[in-house]
Amino acid sequence: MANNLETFKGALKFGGARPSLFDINIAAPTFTGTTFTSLSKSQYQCEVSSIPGLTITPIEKQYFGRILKLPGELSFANLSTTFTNPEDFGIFTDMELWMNALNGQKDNLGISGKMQDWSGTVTLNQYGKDGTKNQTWKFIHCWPSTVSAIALDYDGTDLETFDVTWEYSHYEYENLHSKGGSFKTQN
Amino acid sequence: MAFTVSEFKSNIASNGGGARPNLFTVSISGKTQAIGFDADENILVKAAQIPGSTIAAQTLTYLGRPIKYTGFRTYDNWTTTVMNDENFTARDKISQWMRLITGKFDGERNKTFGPYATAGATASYFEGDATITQLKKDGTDGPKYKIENIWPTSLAAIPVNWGTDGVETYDIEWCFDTFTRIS
Repeated sequence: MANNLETFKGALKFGGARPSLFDINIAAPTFTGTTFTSLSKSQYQCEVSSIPGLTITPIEKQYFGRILKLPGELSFANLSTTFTNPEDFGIFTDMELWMNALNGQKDNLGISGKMQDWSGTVTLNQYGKDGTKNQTWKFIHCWPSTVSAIALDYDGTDLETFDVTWEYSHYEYENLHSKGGSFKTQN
Repeated sequence: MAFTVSEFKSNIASNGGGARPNLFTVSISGKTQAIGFDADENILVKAAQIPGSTIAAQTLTYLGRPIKYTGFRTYDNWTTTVMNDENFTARDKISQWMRLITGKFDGERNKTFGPYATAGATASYFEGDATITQLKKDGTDGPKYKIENIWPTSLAAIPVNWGTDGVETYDIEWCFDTFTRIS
């Protein structure tokens, strides 16, 4: 074996992707009588998320006692986001409006319509250390399924945050990196 | 029993001085070179395992005394942890591999994406192989294991956080049929 540190540094050509270099953009559907005022600020207020994973659940079949694992169906985990909460409660309020449109808190009514009438698109961008947008994931038919409570405590010294969990049908992926390999678009 | 440190050390040393968990290489081959890892991507696999296996005990009792016979042999999935570079090429290959198995993300299936179960297709369409080599402290190859008929069952999410320093990593979990020691 002739591997040495130079071999490793040559393999990690771009110095490694950094978990801190990302932003989130939210495109909500249009609801009659509802105006979202703060979703456009999500790129400045979403501080935690995750690049989505994929799962193919194995189907186990036995042949003479030996368990064979055959590929089942593909599934996507939910998208999770954490937002900083400014004093205007902007995104938190928009999330309440969106969820109320899906199911009203008082009237228990929702929207009878196509999926695009009540779902939107969330875009996650990963950046390089030089500020270039390198990868994007567009979450299609996205809607907020859970808005977490905001913890309050006399002892708390940090800014308020809250989590939003998103459901979506699938995502579209694009690798914009100049050396992004052979599979630049995946949908 | 007399305990002599030098006797212990000489015994370990005579067998090479102890295998080190940080000295290994991995090679992952897909159905085609396009979805297998190239040399650089294999280097980015920072953690893996020499796989284990389990033969379940089937217990029969005779006059209250348990007698353990052998049952089925099973293998836990194999997990690798990969360092993620800015061009995402290794991760893209695995998600492409998963699309080839199950169809596109939007649900479309065609003769390229998802045909493994159609007539005439072979298992090798979606399965690959991996080898994991234990390296000796002098840099030469030690035991080498071939993990046969692997396919990715899980590509883990990558947490992103404005407050986290470091390089992204992610896990890939693989199903496989068996493994053999090849050298």
